[in-house]
Amino acid sequence: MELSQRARVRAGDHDEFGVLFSEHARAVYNHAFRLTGNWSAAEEVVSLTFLEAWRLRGTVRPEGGSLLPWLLGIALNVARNVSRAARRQQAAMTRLPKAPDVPDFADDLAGRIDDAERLEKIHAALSTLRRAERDVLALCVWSGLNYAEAAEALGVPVGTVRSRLSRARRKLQREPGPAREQVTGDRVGGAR
Amino acid sequence: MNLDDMARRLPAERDLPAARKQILKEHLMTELRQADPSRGRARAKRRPKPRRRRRQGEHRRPGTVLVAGAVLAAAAVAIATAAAVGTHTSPPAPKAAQPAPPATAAQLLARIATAAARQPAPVVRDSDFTYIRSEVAYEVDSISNGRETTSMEKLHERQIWLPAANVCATGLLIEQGERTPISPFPVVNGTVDRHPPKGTPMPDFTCPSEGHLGDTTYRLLQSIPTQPDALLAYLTDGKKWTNDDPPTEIGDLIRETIMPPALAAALYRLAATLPGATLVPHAANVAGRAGIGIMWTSRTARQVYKNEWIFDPGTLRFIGEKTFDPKTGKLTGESAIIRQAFTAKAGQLP
Repeated sequence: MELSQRARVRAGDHDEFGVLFSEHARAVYNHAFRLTGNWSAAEEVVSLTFLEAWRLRGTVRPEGGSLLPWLLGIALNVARNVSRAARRQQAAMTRLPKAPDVPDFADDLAGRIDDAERLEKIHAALSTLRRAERDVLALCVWSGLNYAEAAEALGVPVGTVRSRLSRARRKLQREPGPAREQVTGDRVGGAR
Repeated sequence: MNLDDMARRLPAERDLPAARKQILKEHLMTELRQADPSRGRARAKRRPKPRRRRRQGEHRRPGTVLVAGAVLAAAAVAIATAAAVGTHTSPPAPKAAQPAPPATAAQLLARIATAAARQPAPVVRDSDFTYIRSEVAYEVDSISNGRETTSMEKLHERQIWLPAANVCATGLLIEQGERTPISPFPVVNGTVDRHPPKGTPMPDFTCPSEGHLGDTTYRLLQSIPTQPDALLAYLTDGKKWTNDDPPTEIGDLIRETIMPPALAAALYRLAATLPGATLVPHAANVAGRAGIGIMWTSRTARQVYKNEWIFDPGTLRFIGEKTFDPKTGKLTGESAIIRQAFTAKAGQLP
């Protein structure tokens, strides 16, 4: 019988973890960048997220769709406390080859610095939110999960996701935020 | 600001640089294989963390080493004899002066240091390899129907050849029927690739290199200061390579290594001053060989550990160790040094 991806992941099938990595590394990487505001830190979060996913494979629910929400939920915890996750995965991380000193995206360094500055402004605007509200926002608004997927990622009921998100929305609307023109300018400059 | 604005203001998505993505994926797959050699059944559980920064291609085997040797006489008796054997170059001590069994870990470590200092220094050529044969067993756990059960691996042989003077030279590990080159360069399909594609991480030091804490050579060990303060400073400074505390660092240095006598003596003397050591008068390995042990139990900001160094009660030489789960005290790994020597080539038996 053909097992589902979830079943194979639960069973600890290595190849399936390889597939999972190929399918979702990019999404986890960008999610991690939006959480940390740092592209190199995001790389580390990607590594740790998949190692943690291996450790936590028994927590995958047998039924359901894509495992991306599950991975993004793990990444949230990893990004929140990279040092704790790194400690847990210490042995594995000492074996991770270091990134080259001169990154191969050197030509694009300016764009990446611009990304980080942009994120910094957004993070500043979120300072009034609670952690739980920021999490749903990162999952639903930034990474595009629907309520049910975010609920799976966070291990909370769908209603909780909905109410947290609407609370976040209300709070942010009370915040002045950066001027609109500047935003548009940034967008044009940074878009590719 | 509303949420739609925010979404629009997010930086555009990027992909991981292709070479890096490949490396992260390979690292993940390697870790899974190492954690779980039987692809989904047995995976290594709480193995002691790697004692040595592993070079690429080397399979994880921290190396607790167990001596599968003959049963020796009771530890206390043997120690008394041992001290006499150790002093064969000096006039035999009068009987009355023969030491009583050590009463504390510090006393034992001091005697181990003295015995180490008396060993003759080997003659080593730069082109030599340090050869260590050991017997090792680790805790692994199995998963069936989503439930994990834990068991110890069968004791098996491990042989390793590491370059004596230049970590950039390729060493060899033979364990459980697998031959693995050991190199700081990428190992692709069992072959060292010194000129990998652009973007592949390369050693963070220039070749040739005598190595560093966490990946040592005999030449490096010879150059480590033996004066206590300088040695402690050296180990503390080594955290940039290994992030370990001195007792762990010393344990890592003496494992699977041929140690220059002067450094061995200095390390044991330093260990005698560190907190967390207790004497184990009757240590024994799984093969039933009696020894005398030092148990390290400590909790620091960085790590919690419970490791036992085992010494031959006669010669006071390091013959192996055991590692335990610091929480439960359960044995998680053990190893025994069977043979150590220098050889001219990797793969050559002494």
